[in-house]
Amino acid sequence: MKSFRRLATCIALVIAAGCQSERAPQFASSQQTQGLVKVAQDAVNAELEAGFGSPSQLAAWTALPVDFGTFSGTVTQVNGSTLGLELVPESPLAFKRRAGLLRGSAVLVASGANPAGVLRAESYNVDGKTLSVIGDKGAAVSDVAKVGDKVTVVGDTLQYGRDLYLRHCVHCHGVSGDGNGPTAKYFAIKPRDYRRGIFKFTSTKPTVRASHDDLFRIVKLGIPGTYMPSFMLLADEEVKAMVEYIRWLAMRGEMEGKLVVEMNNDFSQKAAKDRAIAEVNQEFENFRKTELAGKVEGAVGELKEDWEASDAEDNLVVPGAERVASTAESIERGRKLFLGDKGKCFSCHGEKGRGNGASTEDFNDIPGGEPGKKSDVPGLFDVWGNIVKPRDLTSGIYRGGRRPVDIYRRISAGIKGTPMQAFGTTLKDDEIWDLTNYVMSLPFEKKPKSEAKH
Amino acid sequence: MNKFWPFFFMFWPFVAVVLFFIAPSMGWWFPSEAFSPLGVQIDNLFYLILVIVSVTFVGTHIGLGYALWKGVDNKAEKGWFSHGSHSLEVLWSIAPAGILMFISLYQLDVWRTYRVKSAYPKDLYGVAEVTARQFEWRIRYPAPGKKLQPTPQPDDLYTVNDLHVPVNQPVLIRLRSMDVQHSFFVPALRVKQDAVPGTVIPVWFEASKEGGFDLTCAELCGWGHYKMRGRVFAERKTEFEKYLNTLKAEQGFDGVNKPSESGAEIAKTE
Repeated sequence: MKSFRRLATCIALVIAAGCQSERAPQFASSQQTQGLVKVAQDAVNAELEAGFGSPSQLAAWTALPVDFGTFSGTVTQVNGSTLGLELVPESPLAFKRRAGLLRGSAVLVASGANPAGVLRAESYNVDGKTLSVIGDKGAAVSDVAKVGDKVTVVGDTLQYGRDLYLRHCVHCHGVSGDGNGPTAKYFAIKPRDYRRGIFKFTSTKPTVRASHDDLFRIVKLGIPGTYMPSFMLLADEEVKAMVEYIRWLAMRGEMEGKLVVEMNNDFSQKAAKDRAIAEVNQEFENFRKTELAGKVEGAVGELKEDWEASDAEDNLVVPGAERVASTAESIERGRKLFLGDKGKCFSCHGEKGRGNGASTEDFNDIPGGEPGKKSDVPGLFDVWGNIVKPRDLTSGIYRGGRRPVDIYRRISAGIKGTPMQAFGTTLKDDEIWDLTNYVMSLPFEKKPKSEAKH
Repeated sequence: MNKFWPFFFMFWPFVAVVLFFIAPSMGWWFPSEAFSPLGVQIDNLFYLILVIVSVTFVGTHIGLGYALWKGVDNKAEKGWFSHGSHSLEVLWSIAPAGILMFISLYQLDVWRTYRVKSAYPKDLYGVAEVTARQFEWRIRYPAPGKKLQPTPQPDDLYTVNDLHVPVNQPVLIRLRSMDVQHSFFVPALRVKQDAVPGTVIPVWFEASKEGGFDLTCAELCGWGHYKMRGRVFAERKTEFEKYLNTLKAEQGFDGVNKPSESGAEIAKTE
C-alpha cells in the first residue's frame, strides 16, 4: 500500500510538471548592456520595456516608423469590461483575420484626461460590434472609456508578425533578434543579428537602411548559399507582417545600442571600477533625471529618420543607364576593371574571381576592438565580428539576388556591414555594367585545359 | 458462454470487411485522389493488395471460427496435432510465395514505366533541375523555348520552392542534392524519389489536374526538415509559358527598364 501511494505521488508530480506551460519568451539584454553598472542596466531595460514591451505584451510606440496595424472607432456603450463600437481598419487588409488577432493590442482612448494604453483588447465580436477589454495595471474600464470617446486599437499587424516570427524565425534569429537562437550554433554562416539595424543585401544607397521591399524579397526568396531558407509559400500578407516585426526588433536593438553608447563612458562597469558605488549611483540618478528622457527622444528621432529614409524613392540605387549588352567586348572591359587599379576587385575576390584574393590572407583589425589591434587569425571581418569570405564568383550563387540590377547594386552600393565597399562614386554606370557582365560571365568561363581536369 | 470465442473471432472479419469497403470509398485509404495517370495505376496495385489481404484475412478467420464453433460441443474427439506435417508445410510455404511472386510480376509494368528509361513516355519534356538543399528546393528552368541542359546556362531561370509544370504533359526533372540526402515527395501525384548527393536522378511525372500540390521532403534531412515544403503547380501550357516569360523578364531586370509582365509574383516589390 505504501509503495502504491509513493507511485501515485510520483505520477501526480510528473503529470503536474508536464502540464506546466512553457516559459514565455523574453527579450535578452545585449552584451554591451550587461557591461553597464546595475542602475544603468535597469534604466536601459526600463526604457526598452516602456517603449517596446515584452514578446507576450508588445507596446506600440507610435513615435517609431512601424505599421503596427491600427483600427479606430467611437464608443457607443460601456458594459462592464465590454465596449460597444464599430472598428474601422486604417489599412485595407482582411478585416476578419485581423479582428481575430486583436487580443493583447493596446486600446488607446482619446478623451483628454486618460493616459494612453491603459486598456488592452481581449477579443472583438465582429457581428455584435463589441470589444472586450481588460484594464492594464488594474484600471477599471468604466473609468477609462466613456460613451462617445474616440478609440484607437493598435498593434494587430505587429502581433501577427510576432506570432509568425516566433514560429518561423526565432530558432535561428533569437527572441531579441540577436541572431543567437538555439539552432544558430550549428551554422558556419551566422544568422543576422538585427540589433545594429544593418542588413547586408539591400537596394538602397550605401549609408541607408534596408527598405521594406528588400526585407520582403529576402524572406520570400531566401539567401542561397546560406542557411536562410525561402519562405516563398507564405502569403504576401504574412511576410509583410513578419517584415514589420523584424524592422521593429531591429529598432529595439538599435535603441538599446544608442542608450548604451550614451551611458558607456561614465557608467560602464569598467569606468566605475575606481569610484565608490554610491557615488556612481548618485551620478547616474542625476543623469537619469536630467538627461535620459532627452537622449531617448533624440534616439527615437534618429530611428524615425533612418528607417523612413530607407523607403524614400531617392535613396534607391537606380542605374543611371540601362544595362550594357553583355558582349565579348563589354566582358573584356569588365575583366580589365576587375584586375585593374580602379576596381581592385582581385585583391579580395582573387584574380580568377574565386574569392581567394591576397587580402583574405592578411591579418586585419577586429571590428569594434581596440584600434590597431590585429586579429590573430587571417581574414576579412564584417561589423558583427565574423570572418567573411569574399564571394566565389565562379560558383554562380548570388546571395543578394541574381538579377543584373542586384549585381549592379552590390557593386554600386556595396554590401552593408562587410568589407565589400561601394563603387558607385568611383565607377561610372557603364563601367559598373561592364563589371556586372564580367562577373555574370565568370561561372561560364571556359577553363583552360590544364585546370579542367580538376 | 461456450460460444464466446467463436463469436469473438468471427466478429473481426466482419469489421474488417466493412472497413475494407468504407476506407477507400470515404477517402481514408490514400492521401488524396491520384492526380496522375501513373498514380492511378499505383493506386490500383494497392487495391489489388487490399483485395488479396482481405480475402486471406477473412478466409482464415472464417476457418478459425468454424473450427471453434464445431469444437465447442465436440467432447469426444481429440485435437489433431499437425506439427511436422510435410505436406502442410509445403502448402503454406508455396501458397504465400506464389502470391508474392504474382504481386511482384504484376507490378513490373508500372515499375518499368516509372523507372526504365526506354519505357519513358515518348513526349517527355525536361522541365527543370530541382536541387534539394537544407532546407528548400532550388529550381532551375531552361529559358523559354530551350532544352534543359545538364550544366547551368547563362539564360537559365531560377526560382525556389515553387515548381511549375504544364498539365497533362509528362515532365522530367533532374533531381540533385547539394548537401545531404533528401526525398522529393508529391503525395497527390504519387511521386517519391530520394535525392542523393553526388548523383543526378531523373524523375518523371504527369499531373492530370490543374492546381497546386504539396511537395514535401520525405527523408529526415536535419533539424529544419519540417521547413522543407514546396509546391508543384500544374497549369495549362500557355499559362506555363507565360510564367517562364514572366520569370525571364523579372530576372533580366536591370533597374531601368521595368519587367514587361505585370503578373510577376516576385517582381511585385520593384
